[in-house]
Amino acid sequence: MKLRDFILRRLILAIPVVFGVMTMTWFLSYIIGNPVAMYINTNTPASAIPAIRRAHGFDEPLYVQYFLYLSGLFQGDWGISTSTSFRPVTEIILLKFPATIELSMIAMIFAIVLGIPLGILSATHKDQKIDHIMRIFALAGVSMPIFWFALMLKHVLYFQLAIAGLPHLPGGERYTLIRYLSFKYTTGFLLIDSLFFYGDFTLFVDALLHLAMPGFCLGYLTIAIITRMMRSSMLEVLREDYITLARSKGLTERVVIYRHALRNAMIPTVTVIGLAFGSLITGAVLTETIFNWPGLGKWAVRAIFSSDLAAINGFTLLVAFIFVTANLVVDLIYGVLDPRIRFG
Amino acid sequence: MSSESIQAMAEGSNDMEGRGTQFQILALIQLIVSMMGFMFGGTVVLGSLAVMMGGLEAGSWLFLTAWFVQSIIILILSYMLLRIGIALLNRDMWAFSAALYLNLLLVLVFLTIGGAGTIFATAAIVPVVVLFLPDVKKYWYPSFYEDTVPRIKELRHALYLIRKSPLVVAGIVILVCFVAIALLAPFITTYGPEQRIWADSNLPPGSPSSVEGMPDHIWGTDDSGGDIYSRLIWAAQVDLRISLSVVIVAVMIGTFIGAVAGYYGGKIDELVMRVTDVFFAFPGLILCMAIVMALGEKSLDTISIALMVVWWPTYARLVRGQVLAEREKLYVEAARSIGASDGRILLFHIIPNTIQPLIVQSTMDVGSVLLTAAGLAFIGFGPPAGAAEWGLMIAIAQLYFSMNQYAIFFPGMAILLTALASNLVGDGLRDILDPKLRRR
Amino acid sequence: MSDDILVKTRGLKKYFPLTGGVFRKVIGKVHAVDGVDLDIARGETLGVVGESGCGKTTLGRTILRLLTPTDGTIEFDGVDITEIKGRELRETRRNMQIIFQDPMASLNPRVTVKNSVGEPFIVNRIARGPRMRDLVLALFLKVGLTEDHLNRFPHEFSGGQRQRICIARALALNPKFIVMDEPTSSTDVSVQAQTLNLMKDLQDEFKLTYMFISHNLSVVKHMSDRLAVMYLGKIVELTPGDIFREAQHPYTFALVSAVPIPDPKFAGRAQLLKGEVPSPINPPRGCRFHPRCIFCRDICTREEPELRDVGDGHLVACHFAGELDFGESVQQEYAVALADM
Repeated sequence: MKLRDFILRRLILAIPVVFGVMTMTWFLSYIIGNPVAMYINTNTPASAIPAIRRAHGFDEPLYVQYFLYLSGLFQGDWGISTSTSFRPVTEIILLKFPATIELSMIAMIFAIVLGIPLGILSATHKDQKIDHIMRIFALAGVSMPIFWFALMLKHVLYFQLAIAGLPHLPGGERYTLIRYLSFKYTTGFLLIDSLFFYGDFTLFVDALLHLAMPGFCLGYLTIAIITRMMRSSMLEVLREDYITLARSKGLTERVVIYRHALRNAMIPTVTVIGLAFGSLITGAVLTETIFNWPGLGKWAVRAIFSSDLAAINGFTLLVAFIFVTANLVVDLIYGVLDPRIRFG
Repeated sequence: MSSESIQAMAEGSNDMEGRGTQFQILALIQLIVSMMGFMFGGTVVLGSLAVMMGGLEAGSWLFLTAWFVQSIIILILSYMLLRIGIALLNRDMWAFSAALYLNLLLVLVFLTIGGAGTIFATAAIVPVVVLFLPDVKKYWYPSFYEDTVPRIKELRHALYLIRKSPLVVAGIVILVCFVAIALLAPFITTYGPEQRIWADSNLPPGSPSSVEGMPDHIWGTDDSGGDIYSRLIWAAQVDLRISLSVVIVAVMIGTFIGAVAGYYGGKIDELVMRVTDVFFAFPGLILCMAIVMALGEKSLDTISIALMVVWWPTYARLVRGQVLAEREKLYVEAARSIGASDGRILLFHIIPNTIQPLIVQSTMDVGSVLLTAAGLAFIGFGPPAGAAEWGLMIAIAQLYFSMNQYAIFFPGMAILLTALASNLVGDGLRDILDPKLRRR
Repeated sequence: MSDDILVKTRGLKKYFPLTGGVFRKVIGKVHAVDGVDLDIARGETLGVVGESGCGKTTLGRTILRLLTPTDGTIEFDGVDITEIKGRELRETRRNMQIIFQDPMASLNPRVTVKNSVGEPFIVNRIARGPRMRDLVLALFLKVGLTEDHLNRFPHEFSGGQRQRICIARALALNPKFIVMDEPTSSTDVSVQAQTLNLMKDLQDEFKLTYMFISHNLSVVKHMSDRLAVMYLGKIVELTPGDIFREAQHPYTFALVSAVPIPDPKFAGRAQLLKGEVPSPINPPRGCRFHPRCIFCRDICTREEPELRDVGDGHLVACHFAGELDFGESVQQEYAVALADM
């Protein structure tokens, strides 16, 4: 199959998935759940409910409701978040999104920077002590309850050190609130804002320090996933004939691994990085709660406590769209990197 | 098998021509057992249906459905045993080993019911005992033995491979310990699951209770004076039950849908794949959140239902892929060419060969489901505060983070260890079951 | 005469759809079997040779209805089996069996060979339990396996033994017709001869009819009474005689001369084929062989030659059958040299 055909086909295949995602959320919130709950809260008088029902078309037949729901989604009407002073869900998402993305990106950088070398190290020292340590490290990452890991990290790196009066990592928030009271976001990405719009390097460093602990905590699972994938794909590649050939040509082990093996071993790892996006956002829900990070995850958890259906619905939709996009991008990259995949 | 045993077999069948009374008695007992099964199963099914019609108190539906399912299984087994009883009357050879297995299975199912079940279970043991009477045994046992030996040999080889890998052994030991601890909870705990002594709140490990005559708090207490050690063990029951039941249900649904989609292909396959695509578009925990939110009830039952809904597509995909691969194998074509039906090919040839990756995946998923369930409970979807559940214990203890770290540390360790063990076993099994590494 | 014909195909075709493009539409068809007329007489062995990808395996499977034919008819034992389904098809399959190329893959790895071989008895409700065991044992002894082998798994056997197990399974239902799809290509030469001789013995004993598919000319010649040569989904030559001496189709002669002969005299002579096998998706117009034929004339590019009888039941699909001169002496020399081998 030609590359153009492949890309087109993948894009077209993504359309039913996007519609499926929207249908699923509709099904959950309209059929199983009570859609009126998206527009009311405990303070809404019971007498006002019929008016709300009518205003949002909940009296219409189901297929009309479905159509209204979809057109609402396309027009940016994702409901009203009752737990966040009745502001539209889309507005809050735009407001909180950069914080989550910044955290996820840092976590991803941790994962890639640590995961790939650790995987290579593990593969090249197969069945040696270092390999066993790496495998247990990775296995622990996959089995770690992330909220507990966050609490434990916070306990050791923040709480214990602070009690002992030693320098310690900050225990939450995006920056030291007291020191930069008047700070206003421009893009919402603190690392960018602090350097380019605020021009304060100390704020940048402060932001980095605040990112370190939640970033690592969130990234640990992804580090583990990438390490394992890198290890197994590297081992697979090292068994290939062309590696034996490269060795028999007298190339040093270094050149063999970094020039010949790495490029091919990276291909499956790229897919995993894309899939890890899902786990990052899942993890963000839990991590942000613990580090008091003003992002989407913390907002979603607060929404759960006040039974804010619209917020959860919007959050679910957003995450699914991000996830679908990430998978699509990975698929396309995979297709470009490895021509074999196009003939599936 | 030696030629002597063949001789014995031949003699046995000659014997049978002469005096067949033992076999008639055996068949009679078998028929009686199956009738008892019908009686019991039918009564329970009708009874629980009647109770369900009459309206239920909240919370009892889970109990009733469990009975309902058990009795349905008993009815099915009884029907099969009825067929076997008739076959025994005709002295059909296959019926003997089938009778052995099915009767033992029936005994097991009866035992899970408890109480009344025990009486019926003893009844079902009788035909098994008769089967092993010397006169009856010599008729069927040699050929049964011959069929079983190669299977035992294979099993022993698998066990040998497992024993060779210390990580798998470690994983299995941890899992078995956790299950044993959960089952023995009433005997090894010192406090009840929701029992609390307010005066004892936030004590470090090993503190004696302030109330006279109460046992020590081995691992300390939480913010409201609950004994961490005891609550942890009670919670093991809850968490293990959730993850096991979710995995089992998801595997059953997923296997059925995946196998059908893979074997018949075409429109069904296309539909199933698109549906699973949609499910895979959501990260598991997030979809669970949305489902629980829509169901509107925050409890462990809704968490379980949400997890089942989220998890089945994984297995459907896995099984479908396996079936697609197996369907093309020559031995399937060979089976088709001797006239085997679709159902037989699916059941006897394809599914047994897809089971290995399924075992690996489901073992690992016991851990993942546990992590997700605990995560859901942590962010507030679980049972109301005070219930013994690992995620919830951490969520509550988190509020008193600066005062008391033990209440966080121990439940988290429990989650970590269980998930780690399931990953260890799954990982190791994958290596062991890998056909490339298997002896040829 | 027609009573002697066991298998009869007329215009048998099997196309595989080829999908591509953005929407996975059918953009072409692989003409795997493209109009085959074949009569297989009772008790004979029909050999089928051809290069890989010429459709010989597909032909075998289509005749057994393991694949559904696209067009044409198949008659088995005087009954049209082209359209039959379900129960009827399963009944018919008792009379025709197949032995595959790879015996390891054709045995279920998780089932003991006793149960694999005995499955036909269970499926067709003939016997189970010890009765089945006795029947399987009898089959085992027939193909030269022993009682000890009964309760082992396929991976515990050697290649030749596995092939014997497959033969035993094929014989279980006492079929009339067996298709052998390159049965010896996965075993080494010493075992090959044993297996082939076993099959010949069994043929005499059970009055079997074989269709023997292979790409190895000498093996096919050793086994078969008549020999069909396939090229791109069609039969180009069918001869009851000695193919090494009497090849009339240029492709057959090219095949014959491609058999390696360890004699320097023949060095450099096997140069009768030019080019590659054309794609079976778009087979050439006219005679399918014309792009590679050294005797190609004008008519070959326009008209497709029919299979015609050139005497003694020797069928050739070539416009110039009988007129081509491959060099009589060359053909003789080949035949002699091959006979010496």
